[in-house]
Amino acid sequence: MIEMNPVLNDLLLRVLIAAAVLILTYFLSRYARVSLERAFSKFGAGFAKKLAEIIRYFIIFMGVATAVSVLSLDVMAISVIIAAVLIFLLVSMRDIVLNLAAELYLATRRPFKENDWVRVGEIEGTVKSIGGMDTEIITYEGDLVIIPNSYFLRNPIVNKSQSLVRYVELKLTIPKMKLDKVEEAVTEVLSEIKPELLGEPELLSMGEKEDKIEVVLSLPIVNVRKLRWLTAKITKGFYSRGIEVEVE
Amino acid sequence: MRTLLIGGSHQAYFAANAIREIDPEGKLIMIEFTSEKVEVLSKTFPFAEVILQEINEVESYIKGNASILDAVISATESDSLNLRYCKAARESAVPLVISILNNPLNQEIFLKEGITYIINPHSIIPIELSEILGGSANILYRSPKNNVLVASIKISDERLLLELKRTLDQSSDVSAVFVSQAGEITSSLNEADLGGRLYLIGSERSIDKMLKVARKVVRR
Repeated sequence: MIEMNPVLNDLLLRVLIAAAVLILTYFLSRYARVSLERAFSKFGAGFAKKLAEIIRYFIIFMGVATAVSVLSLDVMAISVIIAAVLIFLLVSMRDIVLNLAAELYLATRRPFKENDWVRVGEIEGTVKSIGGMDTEIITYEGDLVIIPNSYFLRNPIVNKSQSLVRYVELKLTIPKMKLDKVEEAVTEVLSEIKPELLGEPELLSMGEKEDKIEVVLSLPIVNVRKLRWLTAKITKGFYSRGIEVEVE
Repeated sequence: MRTLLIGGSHQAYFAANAIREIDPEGKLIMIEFTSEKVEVLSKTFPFAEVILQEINEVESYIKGNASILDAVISATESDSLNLRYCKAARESAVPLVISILNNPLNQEIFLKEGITYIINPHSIIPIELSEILGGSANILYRSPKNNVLVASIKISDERLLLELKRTLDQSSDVSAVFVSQAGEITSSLNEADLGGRLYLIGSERSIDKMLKVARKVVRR
């Protein structure tokens, strides 16, 4: 019978245990990915897949760390290397990590959904799509703004979607003339654009200021992107009545 | 409000009349695919602008007018066309995108594509049947926007009545009226007796809880 060196015997045993840990980790991570993907699918397929993948890598990492510790290599040295790698990853991928955290926040808290009208910081518009890293918003002017999801963690979100109508105020500046004539023109122009609104447009105020007349209107609008088109219609309406107007 | 209604189905007829009632001075544009139907629609709905379009041109129309359209309602006789048009409207950020379903089994597909407002005209069938046949617990209406639920529960058991009274006392966001077997309506549950029906209106979460209680007690 061959007598084995006890040190070699011990090392072989540890290698076998480490291999078993790695195999177990592999199967456990696969099982966890499938189960978690199913469990989180209510938050969206893409999000569930990504989260399950992150947890899978975490399990693999833990398994490898356990296997290494079973091998009884110099744990201190390994810990330092792992910590350094982690810090490097966190620093270099800070924005990506923040965006992923924001995605988690958006998926669980659901402060808005697609088609909602929201204001976040200085940006206001309709949510076109919510992605893993960014969210697309279409503004008043019809511009497409792509916002990194981390922005939602730093700025308050105002969801204005409960109300179908948004009241938009327009300021008209008209050269000085009889107030009766201006009021008549405003009423006529408002009745012309009324079919484009949902509710009654209102004349909020009208007054003389220096050599001009200032008129403030409130328009109940559903699609705020229509505002530019409506402004052109209002201007045209006044011009057709012989009145020059500036709209703000 | 400027609304685009696509299709000339029976459902579109109902939709056009409803829009006229809700927004009498609004601008309604109807799109149809055959000149015969366009003619009929123009006569039936003189207040609407009826346009003849090729099936494959509708998406371009939606995209070209998305910045001035307030709502797109797709009510064609084909759910695949409805889905195409709704997707085009959604991608163009039209604020209100509504589809009227032909086959209720397609609802899931529309939801997956992110169409939030789906009208399923068939959903009324089980509700009406349950009310007529005296089902134990029935959801009458679920508001598509505000998480409000209207439901009815048959009071078939003394325990159920006690349980509901207790739950109602604890809920601040639910109101109830009781209709006795004789048809008398009261808002006080103290006058409720067996065999009558309790009608609830309130938050989806609270009423769902009460319906669960009712179903649990009935099962026991």
